[in-house]
Amino acid sequence: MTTPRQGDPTGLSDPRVDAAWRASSREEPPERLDAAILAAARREVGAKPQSTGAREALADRRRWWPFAAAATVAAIAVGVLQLTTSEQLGAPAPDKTVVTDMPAPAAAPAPDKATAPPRAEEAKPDGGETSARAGNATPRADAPRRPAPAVTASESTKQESAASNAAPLPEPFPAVPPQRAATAAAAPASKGEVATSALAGQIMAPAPSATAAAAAESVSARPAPLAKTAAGRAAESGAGETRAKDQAPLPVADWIALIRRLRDEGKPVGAAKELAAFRAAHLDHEKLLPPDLRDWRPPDR
Amino acid sequence: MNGGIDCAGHGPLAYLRSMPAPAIAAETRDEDLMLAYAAGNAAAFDALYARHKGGVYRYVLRHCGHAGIADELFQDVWMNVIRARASYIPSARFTTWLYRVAHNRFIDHWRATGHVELVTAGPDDDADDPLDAIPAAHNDEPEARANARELSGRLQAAFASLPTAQREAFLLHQEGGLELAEIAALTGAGVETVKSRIRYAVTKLRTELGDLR
Repeated sequence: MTTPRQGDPTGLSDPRVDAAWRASSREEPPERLDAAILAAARREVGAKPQSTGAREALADRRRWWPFAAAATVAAIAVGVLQLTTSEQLGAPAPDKTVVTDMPAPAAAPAPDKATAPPRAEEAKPDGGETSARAGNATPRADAPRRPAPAVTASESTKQESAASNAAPLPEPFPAVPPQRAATAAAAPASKGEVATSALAGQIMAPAPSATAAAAAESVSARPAPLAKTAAGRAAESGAGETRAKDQAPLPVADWIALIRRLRDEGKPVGAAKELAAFRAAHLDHEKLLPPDLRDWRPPDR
Repeated sequence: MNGGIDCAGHGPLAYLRSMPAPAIAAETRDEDLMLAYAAGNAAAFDALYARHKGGVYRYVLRHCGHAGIADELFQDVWMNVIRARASYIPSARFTTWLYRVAHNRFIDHWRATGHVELVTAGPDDDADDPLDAIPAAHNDEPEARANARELSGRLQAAFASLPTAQREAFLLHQEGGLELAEIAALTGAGVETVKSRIRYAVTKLRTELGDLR
């Protein structure tokens, strides 16, 4: 590559010398050298792409990585949502208020729960101890939530059964007609009703004793959608324990007398609850119950 | 120097890499071609090689004066360019970088053969230059000498009689098209020294051509 320089005032270039040089200096590399060098150049590029090219190629290959990451995150999110109950998402779940092995009619009174007040944390059963437990139980929420209330119901029922020296096996509560359960909010209930209504998500009136009343208040204050949350379960558990402890010494005769008294005092709902609880606690309730209670049914309103 | 292309960007490199050699030969800068080749465009190297192969070959040939050695050195120079493509940074003109590679290869050759001292060792020219002992190109290039015209023969003879430092500066200026500062940076001499060497070489060649019209 001869570079001509015309009229260079510095004396570094002379037109005659430049022309003569260009005329005489025409050598070119042999073709075999050209071929060898060009082949080497292509071979180097083809065999080992350089850093920039390698980066580009790698970037091309990595373009799908963000999409894969997004898809993975989406899949995990869907999985978590499926494991999350609807209560945590803020949606009411009236159809999930009863989680027991009871027959279907017992699944009851969603309409009353809609009007039920605040949360379990706001209630104060047993001086707030249950609330504390409920609050502590809230974070661990997810998977094992659904079977828990049923287990609590069984345990509660077991304690009642043992206390009353009745049949050891817990039996599901007999079905309560929905319309009766709907009216149960206005009626007073015994201490034994608390756990039952808590498990069933029903609203109960205050119980006679102070402790049971607090538990009943706690349970009744709980809105239906929270029935199966950890807090709700803890509150139920606390109420159930209180009731079982109070209920245990109640003998069969006293229990029958209580049912009769409630019935006679014009509290058929409470009587029905106690009767249902009695039947649940005693497998041989047909033998234990007197005839007037055996066939008694609360009148429909 | 790197105004035409972005090393990190994909667009220009991808464009250059996909371009055939004839399309990029005309309008693309040497630096961009080298970057494109470093990015994997073999056609860019073809264009680059086509632009500079003659100058580099004549630079080597005129310097060593032997066609066989010139072929070997010429091939080594371009292989070094190929191998150094990853580390190439267009901080200066590609031509400067290319002739630096050639210059260094020549120094290695002279060191290996042990014939001469470094051509850039002395600040100035003329006497006591060991390269003067090296025969001129036309003495070892019978085919070229046979086909050369009288002008060419006399010119080459006059060039061969130049001290090595003057030949170096003249070749870099004439074949490589390097500026004084570039030659000075490449050879390690001062700009004024380079200017003096080139001027001296041109004067001597003009004197040899004086009776030719």
